[in-house]
Amino acid sequence: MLKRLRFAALAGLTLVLALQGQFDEYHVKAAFLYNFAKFVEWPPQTFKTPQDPIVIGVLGPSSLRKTLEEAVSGKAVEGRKFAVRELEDGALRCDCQILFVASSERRRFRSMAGGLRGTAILTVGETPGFAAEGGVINFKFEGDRLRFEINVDAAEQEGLRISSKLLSLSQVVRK
Amino acid sequence: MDASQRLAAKHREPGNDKSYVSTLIVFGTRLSSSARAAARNGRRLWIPLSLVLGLALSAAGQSSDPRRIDLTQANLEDLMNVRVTSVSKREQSLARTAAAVFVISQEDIRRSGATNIADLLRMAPGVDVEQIDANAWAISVRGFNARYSNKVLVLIDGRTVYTPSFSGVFWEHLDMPLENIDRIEVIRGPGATIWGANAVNGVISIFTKSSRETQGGLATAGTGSQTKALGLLQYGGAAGQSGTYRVFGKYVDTGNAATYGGSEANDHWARMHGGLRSDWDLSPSDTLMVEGDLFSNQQNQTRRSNFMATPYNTFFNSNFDAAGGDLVARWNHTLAGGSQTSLQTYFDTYRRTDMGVPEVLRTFDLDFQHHVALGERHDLVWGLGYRENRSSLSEGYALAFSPPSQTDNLFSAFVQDEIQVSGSWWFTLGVKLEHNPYTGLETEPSVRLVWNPAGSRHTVWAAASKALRQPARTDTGIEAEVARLPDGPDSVQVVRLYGNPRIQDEELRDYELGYRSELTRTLSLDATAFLSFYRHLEDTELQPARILPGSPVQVLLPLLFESHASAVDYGGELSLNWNATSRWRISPGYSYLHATLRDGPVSQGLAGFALWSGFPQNMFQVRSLLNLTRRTEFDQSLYYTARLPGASLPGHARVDLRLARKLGERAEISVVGQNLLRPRTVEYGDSFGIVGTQAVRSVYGSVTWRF
Repeated sequence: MLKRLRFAALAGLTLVLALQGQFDEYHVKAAFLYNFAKFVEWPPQTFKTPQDPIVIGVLGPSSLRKTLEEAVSGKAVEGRKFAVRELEDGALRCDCQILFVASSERRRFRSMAGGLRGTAILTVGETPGFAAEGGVINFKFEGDRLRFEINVDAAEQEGLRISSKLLSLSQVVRK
Repeated sequence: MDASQRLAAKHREPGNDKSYVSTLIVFGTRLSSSARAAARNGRRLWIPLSLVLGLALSAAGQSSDPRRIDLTQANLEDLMNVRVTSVSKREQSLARTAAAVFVISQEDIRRSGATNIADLLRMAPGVDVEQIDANAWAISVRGFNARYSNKVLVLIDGRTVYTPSFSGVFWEHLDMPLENIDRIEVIRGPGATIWGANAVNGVISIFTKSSRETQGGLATAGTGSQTKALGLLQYGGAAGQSGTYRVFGKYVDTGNAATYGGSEANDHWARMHGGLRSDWDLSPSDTLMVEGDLFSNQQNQTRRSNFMATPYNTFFNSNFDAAGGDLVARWNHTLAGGSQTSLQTYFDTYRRTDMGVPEVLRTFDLDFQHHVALGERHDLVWGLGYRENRSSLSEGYALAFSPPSQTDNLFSAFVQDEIQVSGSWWFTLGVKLEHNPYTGLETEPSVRLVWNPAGSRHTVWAAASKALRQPARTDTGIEAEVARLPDGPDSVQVVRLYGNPRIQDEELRDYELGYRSELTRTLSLDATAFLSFYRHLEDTELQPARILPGSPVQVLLPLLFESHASAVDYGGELSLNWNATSRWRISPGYSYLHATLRDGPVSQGLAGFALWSGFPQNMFQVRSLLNLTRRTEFDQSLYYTARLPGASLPGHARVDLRLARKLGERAEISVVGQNLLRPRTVEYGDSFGIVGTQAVRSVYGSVTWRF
């Protein structure tokens, strides 16, 4: 037991030490997305079987999909693995649970927004006003650190239950 | 929104840009205040501990590649404390800008070793920075460089710092802790549609960091052969639950450079500067920024009594003071629906005595902007502005102004619409209307087109714009003795320059073409070509001579400012950025300018006396930033400036080197060598009564400590 504790402490310390460096923006955002999945509960009808993966849709460059895939490969939340999909051009819907919208694709997202409403997707953006315009979570920078805001009304409309822990770390937006 | 972001506004990734008006941020009051409290209580204990830990950290840091670390194992709180390098953010935001923009980042600034703003600007290709003496510079973009260059607009956090007495900048008035600069955006070419008159040949916009990013203490001390003393003390803390602040005091003492003969010159200057900045989250949709400065300069210069060298010239050392201050407040608000407004006001004042002219300037400015997306294709920015300049210029030994005191009111309005025509084409239309007391109502339109398909690494842009330089008090009301020429045993010719109240706006019609590309993952390129047509450029026309009684008899040759000159310029700029390895970045730049200045058809005599025409045809630079180890940086820069057309001075080169080493996480020592190629270099020569000096080879060392 003591040994295990010591190991955990050591592992924790290594991680803390390692986190002193600087990290690439999208590696960090990928880790955030994984964490969001842990603190969001989708409506019961979202998953057909307990083994259905959590699908992350990506509106953005292919490099982004690769970064996300690397980050979540082999990971699971409550037994569900992850799958990452890039949305093809012209797609109006997304068969996914999380949709990440890169800042370059915000206009495309606007044209899709109507079709996405009510499909229980956790939309995550990185442009100011994204949450105010109906996105659920939006990344923002505070200096060189990442922060996020949550539109609780949008989450409610999508039937997403967001844990109080996540809310407490976020800036809450209502609309 | 900060002024200089308006042009590029739509292309930014604003979520990543703290100076952008955004839906900002009351960052979890609960979280941040408790974290801050913990930090406060624990600080004393943590200092020794963190020193020890710092050493351990660095050892650990060296063995682990950040990319290999599985960040998903970190919890949310840790993730929120991870520092993020966003290579993507600036490049993405710039990718779609239809203007020749170069960004000098904080890393560039830190690693340049420069100790003043003027030297920082050398890093932007196409900007000609020439040192006249240790405290006076000639700085311009795309031509017309002199001490009183008047076609470039300079802003600090949205505050215009050009001087309405000559529509140029006293560069030695501008200073700040260089550590606090977030970035400097240098736009070559006109930006008048957004920024208004005087953004003719370029806009230089300096953004300081939010006080959120400069929490804690910072102390810097340095000394060297030329920079005699350099000291900075800064502290940043929390202001209530939702605000932060920083206050600083800075002192710089720069020693004398060398005369043309090589002896010690008389151009020492010392500067004291105190300032503060505070940033507040008033509500989730409101932020407030307040910033203020006070400075005092003590400068020495060697002057001649006339603008031009003549036998009757006398040389003398002049010691003068300049002092000033400013206060800026900006309120950003996000409306329901995501559109953003910004209301900014500032007051700025200085007094200085230049050429014996005691000058006092007071500026009040009020600026409103609204940025809104209309439908899916339109992105609109519009704004209104008002500025009042009250200036008083008493008579000096070489020049006087008439009237001595004057209040000018400027009114402006602008609108710009960016239209997404298709998936890869953007079209931007804009116009600025401006009313000034000299030439009345003016319009400054521009049209810009960008091609940047989604996912493409290539961007092509084109722009056509009109820009104006409004007359300044110098143009309308100066009276200056230019030269005294012996004319016989008992008579002397006196050449005197007079301002012209009927002077016109100088007008530029400018056409630009640009290409940006990420050629490979490690190499990016930015190229611009321009063709510029100037008309109504200011020249001087000889008027009929008059006899002034006295002994000796003075024959007065009056010169009057007129608007009869014109010019056709063309050229281009090229900059490359090559990340040769993960530890080594090399950034070369080149610029070319061909200028043809023409006198007007009605010019006569001394007309076309080209007051503002100096600019090198070729400039070249290479900078290299090398991380020798994780803690040791070795940085080199070479700048070459060709001979000025028609001038007798040869071209000049400058090499700066910097070696810095981090000591733990909080301290750094560095040694910087400047002007290392030669013991002494003349960069510019004399300018408008200032006798130039030679830049000297110098070395300084400094220590930085964060606490």
